[in-house]
Order: sequence, then structure tokens, then C-alpha cells
Amino acid sequence: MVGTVGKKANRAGQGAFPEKTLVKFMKEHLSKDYPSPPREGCPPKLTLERLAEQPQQVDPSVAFHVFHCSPCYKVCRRLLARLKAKTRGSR
Amino acid sequence: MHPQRQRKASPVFFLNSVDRLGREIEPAVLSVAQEIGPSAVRYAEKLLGDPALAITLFEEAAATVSQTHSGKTARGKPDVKDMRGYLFLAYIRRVRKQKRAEPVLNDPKTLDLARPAQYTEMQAVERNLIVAEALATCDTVTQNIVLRRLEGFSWKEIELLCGISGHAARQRFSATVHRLRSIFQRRGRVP
Repeated sequence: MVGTVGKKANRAGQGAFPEKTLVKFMKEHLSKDYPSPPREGCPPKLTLERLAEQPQQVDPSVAFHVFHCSPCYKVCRRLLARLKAKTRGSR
Repeated sequence: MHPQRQRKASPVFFLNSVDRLGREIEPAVLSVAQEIGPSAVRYAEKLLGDPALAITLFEEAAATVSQTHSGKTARGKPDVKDMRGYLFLAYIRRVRKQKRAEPVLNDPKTLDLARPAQYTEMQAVERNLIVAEALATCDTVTQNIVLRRLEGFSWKEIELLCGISGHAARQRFSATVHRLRSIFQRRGRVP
């Protein structure tokens, strides 16, 4: 009972900012707001593949870079989508 | 056969070791600033529309971070854990302060005509900066979690990939979303 009330209160607290909308903003921000036409200082695709598959074995600077470079973020998204399909397909 | 297209060499990014107010930038901060500078300055340039101003503000942010860094060391307080994130966050806050001051500095005669368009633009810029600020406070593990969750990975899958329990991953992601929401609510704007 308390849990239900808590959940309702939580949902009411979200107001005009539900998680879905905020997730959409994050996605838009990461994929559009950091253009890098010359791909200056971008890590090689192999590093991005490693970030997608084994994030713990990659230098923290790579994750930071992906968060601040839209082309790299887009590449990473594609790699993650492929990885997700592969993992779910093998089940 | 067509000759291979040659890649244009990108201009080298160099920062001054002193900002416009004459404050020094420590070598430790300067090396991090050199590393994250190109993407950070390009981002601010897009918002401010002036590359010179973007780079000046970046130097200012780096000098402020240097002061904080040396102050902490002198007082024997623990050092900044994630210098990249810290510097980027300081820069985003400086850019937002500058962006907010802009309408005041604009010509008041043209402001009336430009107001509706300017308001929409300001709202987009504000939203953009808020998201950047909320994401800049994430550590590396949280960044990896956010990256996967945005692509629809389940908590179980994130647990297997990131080496952190599903519950902890969920809490870290919720904290990021909550931070973002609270900044939006504090600003009192509907996105």
C-alpha cells in the first residue's frame, strides 16, 4: 500500500518532465550538439568497438570523448544496436 | 582512376597558459584543457556564435579550475577526481552565464522585433546547456550505463557488460535523470 502511494507521488513529482522526454533530450543532445567535421582527435573504430563490448577495459577518456563528439556517439550507437541484436538473437 | 582525396590538416588547438584576466593555468589543468578543448570549444562556438569568445571563456574556466585545484592542494583537501568532467562542467556554467547576459547587452530597439524568435532560441540553448551540465556530472561508469540504457539495453544486459549490479546501474541512471529533472524544475521552464 505504501509502495503504491510512493509510486504515485513519484509519478506526480515528474510533472512535465517524464523520464521518456528526458531520455529523448539526452539522445538528441548527444547526437546533434557536438559536431566534429574533421573528426579531430577521434578514437579509431576498433576502440569504439571495444567500448561497446568491454567498457571496463577502455580508457575513461574514450567514454568522455563519445559523450562530447556526435559522430563518434552515432558510431557507438550503431555498434551497440548490433551488439544488442547479437546478444538477444543468441538467446 | 581517381586519385585519393587528401584529408585537410585540421588547425592545431593551442591554449594560452594565462587567461585574459592574467590568471595562470596550471600545467596539469592545461594538459586536460588541451585534450578536451577542441570539442568543448566547438560546442560553445555553436551556442555563442563567436569562436574567439568561446576560446576566451574556455581559458577563463581553465584558470578558475586551476585556482580551485591549487587551493585544494594547499588546504590538504582531496583532489578533483575527474578533471575532464570538472573542467567541462565549469566551462558549461561559464558559457551559460555569458549566454544569459546576451539579451541585456543587445540593442533594446531591435529586441522587441526579435523577442519571439529570440525566446525560442534561448529556450533551445538553455535546454541544451542543462542537458550538457547534467551529463557532465556523470563519472565513467555512469556514462557507460547511460550509453547503453539510451539504446534500450535491459538492466540485466547492462549488469553483464558494465560489471556493476543491475540495481546499482538502475540507481545511477535514475540519479542522472533526477538531476536533469531537478535542473529543469529549478529553471521553471517547460522544455
